Amino acid sequence: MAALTVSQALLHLNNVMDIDPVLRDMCIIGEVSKASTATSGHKYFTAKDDEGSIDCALFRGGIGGEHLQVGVEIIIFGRISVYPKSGRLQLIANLVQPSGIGVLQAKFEEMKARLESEGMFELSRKRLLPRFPKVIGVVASEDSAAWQDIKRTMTKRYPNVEIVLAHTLVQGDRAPSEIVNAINILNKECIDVIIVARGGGSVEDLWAFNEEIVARSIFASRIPIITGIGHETDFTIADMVADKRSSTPTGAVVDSVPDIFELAQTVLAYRNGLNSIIDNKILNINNWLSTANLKLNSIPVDFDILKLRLDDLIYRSESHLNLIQQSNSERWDRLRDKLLALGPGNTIERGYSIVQRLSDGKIVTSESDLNIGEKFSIQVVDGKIYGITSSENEGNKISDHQPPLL
Amino acid sequence: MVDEMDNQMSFEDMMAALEKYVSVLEKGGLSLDESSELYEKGMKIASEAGKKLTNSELKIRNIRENYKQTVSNESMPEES
Repeated sequence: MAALTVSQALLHLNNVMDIDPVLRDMCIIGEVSKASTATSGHKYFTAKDDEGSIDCALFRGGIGGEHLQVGVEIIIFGRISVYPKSGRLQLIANLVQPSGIGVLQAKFEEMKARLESEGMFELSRKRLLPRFPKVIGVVASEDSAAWQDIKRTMTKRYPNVEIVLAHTLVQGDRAPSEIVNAINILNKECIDVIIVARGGGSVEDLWAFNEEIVARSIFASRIPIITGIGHETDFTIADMVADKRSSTPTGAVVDSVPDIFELAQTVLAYRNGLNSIIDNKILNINNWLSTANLKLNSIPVDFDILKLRLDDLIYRSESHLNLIQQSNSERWDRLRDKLLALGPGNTIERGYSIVQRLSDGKIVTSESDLNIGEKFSIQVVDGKIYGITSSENEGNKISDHQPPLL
Repeated sequence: MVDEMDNQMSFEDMMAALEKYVSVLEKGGLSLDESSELYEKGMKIASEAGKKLTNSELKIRNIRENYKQTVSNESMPEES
């Protein structure tokens, strides 16, 4: 056998103790017999009972240092190790609780503090639950009152759903691993939300839900988890890790699904809303139409005014016509006077006469218009004189003596 | 086609659609045709939703048996 150095021997001892499940996770009850705080903030104390004592250290950051007062009985959680410098055995504590609260409670506080420091209770990691789940997983014992409560409440409240029950023991040594198993199985199913439920009981009865493996499987669940464990006053570690904590199994159902009657009322309210909106719309259009109709009817179609306007137009056109006629007749009068003046009447009256060839009525204006022996007429003011041209009457030219007509 | 669509709608979709139709209609500014189209769609979904609520029946599946079967299936090769 090869010889070990002292430090090698101590290192080996520590390695052995580190893998020993009892030594590395100890829970010891004892009375504080010595206590001091180093400048570093670490606390050193001795715990003893009637037959022995052990040196302990609670490093800075450890929980429960305030309970380290001489004479107080405490519960210490921690691991055993050997301090290499002195070779002395010591208990490295991470939590100290007064023993009055009981071992389970102390364990609970220790785990709560530890998991909390890991962020497992963070509100920010809690997932929203679906509003209308279709499939709900239940982790419960199929023989339990909790399961009966869940079935009854779900049937009454929201039967529009499928429940997948993963039966599990909820009490005893095997319960924690069965609960973990059930959660894992449900995580392989197509499920919207999981209810983890157990009826009321003592702290010991509910203890499975304080086990670390249960807490960790709830934390790791892909599907949001609602817990309904025990009664209102029971708070388990599982409750704290879950996405939603309900006080009872029935409460978990209430928190996981809507109330069918409320929903039916909501649907009814939507129906009524739709109806009243469309009714209002139609009413508005009706109102608009009747207003428009009223307006149309009330527009004053005043025939009197139209008549007046028509009369005015007629009068104006008539007077215009008169004006035109008048000016036309004036023009006509002037024209007639002119024509009369141009005509031979007046001239004849003044003593002139008109000679016309008798054969065709042509007015004789030249000697050559009449041949010798041709008949002609002479128009005078009071009648006609007839004659015949003779060859002897040369040079007797009437035209020479004619005055200008105008 | 609308019928098929409605049948496939989840309850959540139905409620969301109803909520939307009502709020759009309430806002107003739609023509009578548009309004009556939304109204008809809404009423159809409302009656579907009502049917879904009244005709629903709780279904329960216990996967304990499935699980046992899985276990025995897994253990079969060892037995043989």
